[in-house]
Amino acid sequence: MPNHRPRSVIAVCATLLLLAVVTAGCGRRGLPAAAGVDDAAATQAAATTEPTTRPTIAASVSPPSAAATSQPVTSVPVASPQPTAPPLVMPDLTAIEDLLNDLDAALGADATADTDEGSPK
Amino acid sequence: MNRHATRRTRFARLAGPLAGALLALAVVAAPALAASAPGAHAGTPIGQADRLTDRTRCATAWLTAAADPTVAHYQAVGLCEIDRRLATIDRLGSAIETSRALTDDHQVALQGILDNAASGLRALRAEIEADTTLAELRADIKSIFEDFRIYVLVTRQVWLVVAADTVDLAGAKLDETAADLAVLIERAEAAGQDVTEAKAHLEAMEAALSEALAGVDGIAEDVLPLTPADWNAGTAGPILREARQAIADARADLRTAMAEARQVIAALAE
Repeated sequence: MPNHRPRSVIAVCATLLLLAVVTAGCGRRGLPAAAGVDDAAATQAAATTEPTTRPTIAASVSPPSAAATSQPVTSVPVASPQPTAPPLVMPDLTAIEDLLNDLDAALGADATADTDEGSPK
Repeated sequence: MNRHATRRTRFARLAGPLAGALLALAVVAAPALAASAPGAHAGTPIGQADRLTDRTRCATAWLTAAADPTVAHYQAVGLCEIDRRLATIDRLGSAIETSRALTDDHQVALQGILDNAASGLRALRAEIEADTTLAELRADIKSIFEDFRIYVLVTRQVWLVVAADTVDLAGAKLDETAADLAVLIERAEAAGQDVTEAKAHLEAMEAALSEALAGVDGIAEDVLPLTPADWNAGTAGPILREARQAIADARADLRTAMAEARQVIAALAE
């Protein structure tokens, strides 16, 4: 009988402590911002934290040894024993597409920047 | 007494399961609460919630000061407006550091603008903390806006220069692509393929590309020297507007060039 009170008090205290920890964890959500100047800017800043390492355009015309991984435009019959022309390898446009997305984000950020200025009242 | 003892015993027995249930509830509820927090909603851009929170906090400070114009309340207004700007400057600094298109020169120039603004705002913050009259505070608060122009000028300088450099870099890459495509067309032609359509699209691509690059020539040099005084005098606004329009036009040209490049690729693949 004398043990019941301490045990219940400890249980309630532990519960409250856990709730406090969990609540504090929830409250910290959403604090960091990338480039919170504006919506698109922030998204963009997050998107540009790492430079793209996709294949560059300059490397798009690959040597014949890379033919196995490329997309040939013209297929040359292999039955002939004569040396064949290397297949055409199309440029990879994804790096440029990424830059155009960056551009969209920067213009979006510029468009909304002045709404934050306010004025002395 | 016995009844009390029985209740205590019952409570003690229930305490463990009750604690477990509450813990389980907390674990389940935590992600749900976090997901419903401002800024966590799908489609809400990163940072928007913080920015709105900053603005809301300052708006509240303004309302409080208007209702009860004391030195303490106007100090709160000034400090809030300054801190909001310092946070923005930090975020802009991160953005220019991580930009993949910004040239080194432009990055240095923009960082200099941000550093000057930040040091000026910090000095003004100290003045506001030391102000003892409403007249001093009103003058200092006015200075936050008119001497720095963080949003209408500095933020736009950053994004417009980043955008102009992005046009340049995308244009350079498209130029390389056009050269590669020209080689591919030659090879396809040598192999007996009809390349008339591919050639026409390549010409259109190169024309759009030239337009894009010509449109942004000199934008950074026009935008970077602008100062808050230029904004206050009304001379910076038109320059920023023209720069924005030129970049938007260049973006359209680049999109056209991309579409033409894809048409070239499609024509060669036929």
